[in-house]
Amino acid sequence: MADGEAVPLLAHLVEQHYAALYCYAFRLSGKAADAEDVVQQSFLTAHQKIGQLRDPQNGKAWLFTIARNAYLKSLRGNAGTKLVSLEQAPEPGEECPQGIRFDNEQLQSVLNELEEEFRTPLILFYFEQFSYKEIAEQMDVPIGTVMSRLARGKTYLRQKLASFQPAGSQQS
Amino acid sequence: MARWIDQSRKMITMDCRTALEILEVARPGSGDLTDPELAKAAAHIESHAECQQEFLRRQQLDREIGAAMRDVPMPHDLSTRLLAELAKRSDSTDAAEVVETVAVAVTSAEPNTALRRRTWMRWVVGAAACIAVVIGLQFLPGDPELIDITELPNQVANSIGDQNLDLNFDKLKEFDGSYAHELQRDWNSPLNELPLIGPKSYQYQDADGANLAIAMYQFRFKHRNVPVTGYLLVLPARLVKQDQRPANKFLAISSAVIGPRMTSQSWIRGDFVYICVVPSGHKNFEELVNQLSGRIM
Repeated sequence: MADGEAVPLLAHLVEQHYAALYCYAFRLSGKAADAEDVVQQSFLTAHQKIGQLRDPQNGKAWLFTIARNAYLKSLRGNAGTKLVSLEQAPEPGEECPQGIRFDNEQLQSVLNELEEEFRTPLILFYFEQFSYKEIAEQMDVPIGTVMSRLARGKTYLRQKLASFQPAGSQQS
Repeated sequence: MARWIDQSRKMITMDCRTALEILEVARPGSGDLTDPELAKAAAHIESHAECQQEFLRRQQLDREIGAAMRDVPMPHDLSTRLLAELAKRSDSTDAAEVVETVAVAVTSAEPNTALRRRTWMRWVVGAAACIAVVIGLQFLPGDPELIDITELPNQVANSIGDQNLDLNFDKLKEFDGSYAHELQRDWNSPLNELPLIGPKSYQYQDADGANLAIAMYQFRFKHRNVPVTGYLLVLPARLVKQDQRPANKFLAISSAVIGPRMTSQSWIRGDFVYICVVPSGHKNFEELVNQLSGRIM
């Protein structure tokens, strides 16, 4: 695609999706500066690869995939903190506690604890913009894997958010 | 790992726990429960009251987590900086041209036509400027200029005055029908729990003081058990400034404009522009989207 066609298309994608992409990058990285870097890198990559976008209607999913790759690339060589893997976690299934109250910071702190392979489907699920099938496509894993990761991730999230409650404030 | 998933395709019986695990992937308010992969689990919980209660509790918590998850402060001027960076890297287009292109491109659902439209728009703007100069003072007073829809929600909020945007809607004049319009069928469906009241006349006033009656509807919904009043304005797209015509996206959170007093979002459908206004930050707006999602489009 010639630059004269690519730039308007890309500008359109920026206008339509930059906010959602920033939210995604923010929840992935947990930091505003890192999120902005990821978004900027994503659009630069999109500029280079715009010819691969066959249907502009798929622009959003395409950008989200690029953003995730940009985020993963930014992690390379970064020792980081120890993350929780849910592979060995107990099977999900506990009752959902009622009356859970949490703030944005607590939510982000739980997300930050998770390995990316569990964090990403959770974020995409809660954005409510992609079905679990689309999440599977974006992550390039089978649908069953996404279902399993979501079930485990959501159980963990509920347990952790419930643990933030002051003693005696929860109903079950 | 994923015991139930391996079994799900050939599962003959299903217990509550398995059904609930499968339904973890169903987004609240979406049509996911009709997904064939989930239908059996959905049918199971319908027949078990306790299981259904647990499912509803999880869905409620999902709504709250989802709203919090999407509540991310946006850096100032991010889109402008992104566009400037793209313009810098482009071989053939300068920053101003990219920004201009965006303004045109968002009016079109087909981004590839943006360049042709830009040329056309330049012609129209040029012609309009010439006509304006020729007509000059002969311009009829009382004819409103094209409507600035970036300002319209603020104007509505200011004219209502009340912090919660709640006004005595009954006392407004009936819409005089100066333009025929129709509502999006889904919002107006009898199945919908957010019926629209109206239309009444909202008096839009342009910078020169000329008036135009705009069709305004009121709706009410509850967010965390607190009643919220919102408004839906419907106006002919031909009366909206060309470069402000919104995209064809119904109630998209990503394109909502969050102001200090209200959140608004506009979209175009056919010959009409729709503007939805709800009070205060975006959480009320998100709740509205949640409540309408699954029924619309």
